[in-house]
Amino acid sequence: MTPHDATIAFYATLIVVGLGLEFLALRPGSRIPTFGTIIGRIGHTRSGRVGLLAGWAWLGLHFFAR
Amino acid sequence: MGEHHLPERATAAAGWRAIRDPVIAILLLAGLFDGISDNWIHAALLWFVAGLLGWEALHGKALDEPAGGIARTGPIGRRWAGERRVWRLVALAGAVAYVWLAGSFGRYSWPMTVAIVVPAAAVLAVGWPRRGAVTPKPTWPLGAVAWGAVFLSMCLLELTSLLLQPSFRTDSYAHPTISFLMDPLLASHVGRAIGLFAWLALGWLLLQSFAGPGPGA
Repeated sequence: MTPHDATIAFYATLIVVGLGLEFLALRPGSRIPTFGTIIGRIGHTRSGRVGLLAGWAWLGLHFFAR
Repeated sequence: MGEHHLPERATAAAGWRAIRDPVIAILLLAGLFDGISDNWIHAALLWFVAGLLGWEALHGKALDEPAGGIARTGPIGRRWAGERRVWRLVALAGAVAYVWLAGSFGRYSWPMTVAIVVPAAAVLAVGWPRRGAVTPKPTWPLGAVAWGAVFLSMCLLELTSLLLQPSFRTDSYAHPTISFLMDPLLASHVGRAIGLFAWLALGWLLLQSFAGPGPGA
């Protein structure tokens, strides 16, 4: 396995784990919060919300803008 | 005599709160790595926001105070509550048309930059923290550790790939970053339109997660 393949495999694994967590979180009585719950919790505070908004805006700039 | 030290102590306490706030540290670090990767303008945005939060902390604003909820429906939404589904479809059609038009612009071009900055400014204006109804402070569920581990692993993998590149400004096929992997996907009109739609949808989901009783509730 090349370093390229290994890196892709790591990324893919983390995405699958994230999807799995969301699936587990959506089950009734689950102790795992959904991704939306985590975002809502972070965005509950002033700095958390500003950080989330800045991160989102930065994503758009990074991938598309000058 | 001791009273003269009170403002200094308050400033020191505020400074300590700013240093302890993980968001400021994350923004500064992200800006640093973005900057040394030759994206100084984007780094400046992150540093500006970190500086803004630090300035607020030094001027006595508690960074961990509730950010207030965004009202789900404004006066217009209440007026047309019966047609909410229709308006959502109109908004969705508008978003699709917007990303299709914006996707026709080249990446890193000025038209594309404008197409990003306009909705970003709108979401920032709507989502920015404001005084609102005081909601009970939510607790961190134990299962949040699992999400933290995934996020941290993703950051470490991205950082490892970045450090293993020939230089911060030269991409590596052997050690691809997420940005490098996205390049072929965003090279086409359709790919850019899908990417833009995903970004806009993420912004909309963020605003939804901030929804609450709204100011004055």
